[in-house]
Amino acid sequence: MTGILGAGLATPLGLGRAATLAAWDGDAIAIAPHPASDALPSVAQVPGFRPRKQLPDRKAVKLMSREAQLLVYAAVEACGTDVAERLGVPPEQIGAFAAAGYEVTPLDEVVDMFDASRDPDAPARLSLPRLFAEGRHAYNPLSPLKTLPNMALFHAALSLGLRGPHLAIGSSPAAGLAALSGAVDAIGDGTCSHALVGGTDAQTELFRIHYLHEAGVDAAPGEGAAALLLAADAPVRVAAVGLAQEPPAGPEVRGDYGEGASAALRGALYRRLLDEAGLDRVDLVHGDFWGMPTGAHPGGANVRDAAERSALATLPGVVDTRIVATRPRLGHLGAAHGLVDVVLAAGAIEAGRASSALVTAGGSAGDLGAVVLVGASS
Amino acid sequence: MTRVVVTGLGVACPLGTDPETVAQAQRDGRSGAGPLADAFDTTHFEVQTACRVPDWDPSHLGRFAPALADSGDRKAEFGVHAAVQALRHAFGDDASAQAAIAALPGRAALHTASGLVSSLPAEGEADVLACLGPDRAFDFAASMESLKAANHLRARHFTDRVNQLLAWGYGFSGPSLVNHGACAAGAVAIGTAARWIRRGRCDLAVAGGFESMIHPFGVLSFQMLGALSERTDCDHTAVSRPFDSTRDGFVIGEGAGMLVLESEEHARARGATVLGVVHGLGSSLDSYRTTAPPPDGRGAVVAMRAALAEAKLQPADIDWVSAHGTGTPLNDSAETAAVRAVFGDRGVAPPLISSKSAIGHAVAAAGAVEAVLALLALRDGIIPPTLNLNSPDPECDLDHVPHEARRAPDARYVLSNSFGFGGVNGSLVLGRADT
Repeated sequence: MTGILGAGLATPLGLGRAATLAAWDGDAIAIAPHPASDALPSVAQVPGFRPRKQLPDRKAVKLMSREAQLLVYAAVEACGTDVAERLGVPPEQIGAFAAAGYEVTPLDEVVDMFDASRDPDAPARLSLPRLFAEGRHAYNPLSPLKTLPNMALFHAALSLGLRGPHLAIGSSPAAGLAALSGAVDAIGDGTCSHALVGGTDAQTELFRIHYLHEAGVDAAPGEGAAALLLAADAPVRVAAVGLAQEPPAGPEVRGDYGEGASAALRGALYRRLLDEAGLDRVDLVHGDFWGMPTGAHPGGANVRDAAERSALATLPGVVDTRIVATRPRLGHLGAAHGLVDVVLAAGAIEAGRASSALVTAGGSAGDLGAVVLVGASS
Repeated sequence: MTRVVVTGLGVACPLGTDPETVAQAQRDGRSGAGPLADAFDTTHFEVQTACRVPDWDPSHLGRFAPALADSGDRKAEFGVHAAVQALRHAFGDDASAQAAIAALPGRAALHTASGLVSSLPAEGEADVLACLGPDRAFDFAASMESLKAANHLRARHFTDRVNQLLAWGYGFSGPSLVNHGACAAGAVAIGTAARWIRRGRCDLAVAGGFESMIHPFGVLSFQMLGALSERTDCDHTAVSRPFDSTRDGFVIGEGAGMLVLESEEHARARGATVLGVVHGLGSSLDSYRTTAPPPDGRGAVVAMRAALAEAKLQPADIDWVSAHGTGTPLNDSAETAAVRAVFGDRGVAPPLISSKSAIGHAVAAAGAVEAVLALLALRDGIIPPTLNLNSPDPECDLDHVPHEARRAPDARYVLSNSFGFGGVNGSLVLGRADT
């Protein structure tokens, strides 16, 4: 059974797995005022992160988005830069499966270009001839590379020298669990012997903050990354992993999935995975709770938290299960969410505080993921 | 092992917006290239050619059209169009497709692919210009209000929008994800969905890719990276020149390709017509450079060999290779070297053709559109041509089937390559319906 051989974290609770786990086990809350402006909502940023000093190739840092920098940090912690040599396997046998948030170009990299591209006759408008004649020269030609959605995976794979199969996905909170599912399948099929699995996001940039604000997400925009090194046998095992899609009731961007239908679909997925894992209950659940107040978004009542509660209530033996939510303390970590929860849950199993855990995550487009972890002795 | 069959095809590409129109254009060796200025004002811009989906009218998207009307999201329109077309192809009509998917709770999947979403000029105006004061200080307080002005365009940034709409329209409730593996994404999405079916994670999947980067900041991004042809000394249809010694970059394309995949057991049980078979996927990472492949194409070699292994085929079984074949100087020589390493030199290696000579580079959708083209070519018993190959590069010395399609009624297997920025490689082995 595929399991977790190594793990790395960069979260608002701490830089590194040990720091995050220690803070998580305490009462720390990582949410603070936005450093750029009091007009922006509070955010949850990774403390003490200095990419040029802490990443293996400082020259490459300027080519990386914040998401890529965070993922490389977590990947190096999970695997070490000499992973193929240490494991004694060819680099073609180590895959890379990663979820990354939508990597927007930072404001300070586009301001000069836009300002130089104003239409002289209508300064509030952009002029394409001005953009092509002048504006583009104020734009760093390497900036577009940062926003390619597979660049976080590229930089992590390059840092570790991985040449195996890949899956680059995003940017939903469930995407990290989809990456985990892909890696588990790849190892199970023999496509690779080991896999880096990663999830990373930086929701603290202006345009992302705006989206969360408009979406009515009641959690602070956050940033972070998690990475796992998976192998065929390891102390904490992935007993079952599954994905699903909630059909929305309407075509709106942030869909209404209906509490009853959503709860039924979620519950069916979670119970099936417990079944596959051969468990009659789990000790710990890291649930898909967003803290979105009912009725918060304009398309209709958002009932995802209520649906998640209802779904978890159908699990066998749930009265003795500890159910936790990470967003109130870590902020909204976007595409990093699912895997950050996996590393936290695996930490609880390793520490002997749980023998099994269910981690669930969902995205605003209705995609869901769930994974059951068990200790080696289970 | 479960055989994964193709039972529906959907496409929007520069050669047309339905499989039969596209198949005819492919047989005729037509190009879909035209002026980029048809899309936006290109004054002072070096790039002047693009391969656009012709005569595109999103109003035909029916119940999906209102949901996409305000966002200017061509890629999502293409994606929905191709998926709906593929589902109707597979099931006859929407009601039959919905009924079939409803009968598969948790086991009808979506694995699509899309790519970079750069902003539209209107977003730049609302998100940045409106918030810059006379001293160029950015007013964050004002931005929280002014950003709302472009909020209707924000939907195009959500690449999972197509999956969400298909789930609403047809009731998909199985595994669902969007592949962001750059130019390899479409191929990897199809191959991974086929694996889901083989592993029993689902019985049916809609898989493919959708993309449109033909807008000012999309094209500008590729131009600034030096990836696009800036040729203006010939007709637009002669700009894309894969494997030619005068190639100078790719021509930007757009579109979508979608496949309905089913386990053979599921397809046979409902009496579906089998259009082709997905035999194998191989993927690999170069771990080399951001925008350049290693000259020996070593990552591509790993991907092609892995695809053949999953398909349980030997190199000699492959009848022709659909190249990534972008027309950039570095890609085509590295890909030729990789194909030689896997298949042997000219005379031994199968023909290596580039559909991008006709349709340009559809980026994340490329592998999916080209999978549709390859399956149509297998059905039609042809090897599609590489257009504009007038002065072959000595480093690209394989049989590239120049200018005109070649009859190949006995061809059974195609290997389709897709390689992307960031050193991501994907190779698919596709087979004729009787393989």
